[in-house]
Amino acid sequence: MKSFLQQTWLVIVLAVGFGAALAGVEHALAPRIARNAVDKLHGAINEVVPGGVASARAQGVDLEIYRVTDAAGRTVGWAYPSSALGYADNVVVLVGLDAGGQQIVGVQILKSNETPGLGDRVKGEQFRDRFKGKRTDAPIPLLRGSESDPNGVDVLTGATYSSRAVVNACNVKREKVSAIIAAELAKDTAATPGQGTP
Amino acid sequence: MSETNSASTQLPGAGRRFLNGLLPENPTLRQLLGMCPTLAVTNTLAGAVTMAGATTFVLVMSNCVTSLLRNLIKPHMRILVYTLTIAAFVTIADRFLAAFLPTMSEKLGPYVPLIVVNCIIISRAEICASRQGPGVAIADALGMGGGFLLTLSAMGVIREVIGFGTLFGLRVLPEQVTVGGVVMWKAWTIMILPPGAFLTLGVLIGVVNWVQMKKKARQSGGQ
Repeated sequence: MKSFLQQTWLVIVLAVGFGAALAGVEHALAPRIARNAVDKLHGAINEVVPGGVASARAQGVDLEIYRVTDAAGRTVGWAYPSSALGYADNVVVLVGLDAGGQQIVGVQILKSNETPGLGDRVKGEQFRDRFKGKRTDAPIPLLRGSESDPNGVDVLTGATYSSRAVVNACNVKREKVSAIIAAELAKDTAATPGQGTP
Repeated sequence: MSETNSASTQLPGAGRRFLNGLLPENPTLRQLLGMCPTLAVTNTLAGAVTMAGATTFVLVMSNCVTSLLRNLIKPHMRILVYTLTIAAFVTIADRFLAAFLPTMSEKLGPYVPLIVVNCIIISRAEICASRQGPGVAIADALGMGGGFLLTLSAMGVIREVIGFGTLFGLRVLPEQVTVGGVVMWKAWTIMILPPGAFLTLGVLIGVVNWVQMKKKARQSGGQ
C-alpha cells in the first residue's frame, strides 16, 4: 500500500486538482453555453417565420414545436425542428409554418455535415426559398429533371441526397404537427371566443 | 563540471527553442506531427487560426505544468501525467470555445477534443518540458505553437482563397470570371475538400525541403 501511494500520489493529486478545475470551468461556463444554444434556436425561429419576435414551446405535446408571436403577442406562425438522413449525416432542419399551419413560410438548416461546395449548398437561400408557400396537407415531392408539380421542390443539381434530406425533414412530422397546431388553435378559440387568430 | 551540468548545457536554451519551433523544427512541415488538424480544419483561415490558438494554449499550459513537476514525475508514470494534464487543458479550451465562439466551436466539432491526441504536445513534454525549466519550456511551447500557427495559416490562406475566393469570409477573388461566354476562372471546390488539404500540404513540404536543400548546398559549397 505504501509503495502504491509512493508511485501514484502525483497522479492522484493531479486528477483531483484537474477535476476540481474542470468542475469550476463547467460551473462558470455552463449557463453561457446553454444560453448560446437557446439564442441560436430562437434566432433561427424568428428567421423562418417572418414577423416573429418571440417564441414559446407548446406545452403538453410530445413533439418540440414552437408558437411564434409578433410584438403584439399575436400568433404569426409555428416552427419545429426535424431531421432526415443526408449524404454524410442527419440534416437538422427548422421548418417554419404560417399561423394556420397550412403552408411553409421558411426553412433553415440547423445542423449539417454535408460536403462543402456540393451538398452544403442546401443551406443557401436559393434552395431554401424553394420551400416557401408549399402546402402541408400532402407530402412535398422532390422534383428531378423535367418533373413538375406546383407543390414540389426542384432538386439541387449535384446534391440529390442533401436536397432529399431537407424535403424528407419537412415531410416526416407533417401529420403530427398539423394535428398539434389544430389542437392548439382550437384551445385559443375556446379561451377567447371570437378573437381566434385569423 | 558535474555530469548533470554538462547534460543540460547540451540542450538548447529558450531563444534557440523558440526559433527552432518556427521553421527549422516546424512541427508540421519538418516533423510531420499534428497532421489531423492540419488536414481537417484548414479550409478556412478563421478555422485554422482558432485551431492553432487552442493548440498553442494547451501546449503552453502543458509544458508549464510538466516542467514544474519534472522532478516529481516517476519515469514510468510520465505518459499518464502528460495525458492527464493535456486532457484537462483541452477540455478547458473546448468549453471556452463553446461559450465564447459558439459558431466556430460548432464548425471545428470533434477536432477540438482531438487536440488531446495531438503528438506535438506530448512530444514537447517529453523532449523539452520534462528536462528543462519553465522559462525554456514556455519559450519552446510558444515557438512550436507559432510554427503550427504559421503552417496552418499558410494552408488556410491558400485553400480558402483558391477554394472559396474569400479570406476570413471576405471576398477577395470573383466567384467566376467569364470572358466572351467562356468560363476562365471558377473557385476550385477541390481545395476545400480533403484532397485540397493533401495537395497544399505536399506543396508546402516540398517548398520547405527545397529551401533547406539550397541552404545545405550553399553551406557545403562555401567551405
